Amino acid sequence: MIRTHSFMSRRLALVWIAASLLAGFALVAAMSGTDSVRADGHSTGSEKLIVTPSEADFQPGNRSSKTVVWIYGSGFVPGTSVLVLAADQRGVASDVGALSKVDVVANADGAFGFPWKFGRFTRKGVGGEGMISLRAVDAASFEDLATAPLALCNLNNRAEGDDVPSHCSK
Amino acid sequence: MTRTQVTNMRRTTWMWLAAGLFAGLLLAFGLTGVQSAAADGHATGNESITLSTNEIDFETGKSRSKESVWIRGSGFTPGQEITLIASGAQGALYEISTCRWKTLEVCDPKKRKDGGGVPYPLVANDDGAFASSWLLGRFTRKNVGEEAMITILAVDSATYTNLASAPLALCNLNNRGEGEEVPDFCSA
Repeated sequence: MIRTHSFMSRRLALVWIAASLLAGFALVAAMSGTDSVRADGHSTGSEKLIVTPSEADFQPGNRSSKTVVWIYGSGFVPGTSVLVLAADQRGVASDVGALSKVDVVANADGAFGFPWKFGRFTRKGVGGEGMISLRAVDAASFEDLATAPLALCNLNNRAEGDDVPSHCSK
Repeated sequence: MTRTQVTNMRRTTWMWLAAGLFAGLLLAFGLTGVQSAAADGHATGNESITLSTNEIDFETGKSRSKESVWIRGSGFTPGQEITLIASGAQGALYEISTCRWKTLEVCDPKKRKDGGGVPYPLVANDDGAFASSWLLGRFTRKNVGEEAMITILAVDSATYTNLASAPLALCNLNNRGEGEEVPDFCSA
């Protein structure tokens, strides 16, 4: 009687171990948000954002700036609607695509490109001279997909004697 | 007697179930190491660096070079201290975001001509961005740097975790000897 009990226990134990190992894996897989985003069709994991030039003339307080930078993306899932965001002086995100009147959508090759004319972004209380991260996020999920650095520097109208910020070449 | 047996079986089953679940969780977490690194506060997973130029004049053997390149980063954890690294001759790694020391932990601006990065220390701002100007300085000296295609690495200063990289061609653009072969990664 005791022997039978012991034998059944082992067999059951093995079944339960296998089942619970599987359950453990499933639980962790469900909890691993980043991995699932990378594989759920909204992201390839190889997204790249480029801003050129990476140092642009930015005169704080200018009512309307004519400075233009080009923003390019590659490695996105074709058809993905992308928001390209730039933080203003107060840290509020501005939709650069909307400011440029462009619907940013990755083409069949997963790429996009558009010019961003600073325009009113230089106005007082909006953008500021600084080093910023441009962020490309999935418009549907707001998931961060890629970033690119951009130095906003008063290259042409700095007053004599004014300190040059450490992120600026002049 | 029979009741005791059933109780024992149930107890054993629950014990095995709990142990199995625990082992499964441990195993799964162990296998997802990359994700935990990206979520531990040292990495966002979206770090990127760009260089103001991807090809720079590099005269091997020159005692001091006045050439410089801007290295800009985005998507880093705000407040994170970053070290920039370049590989030199013989595969040695050089910290290029550091300053030349006057005394312990005091930068000497007069030694800037010897090379290094400004500002120091290099810390990501509130928007996760940074900019560093690397003056090559003594990096052109014999057995230090060499004409080569190299990778500039941005690593977490605390853990030395590799966060982002960018390519840089070190090319002798202005003083190559006549008849000397131009490396395939150089434009001249």
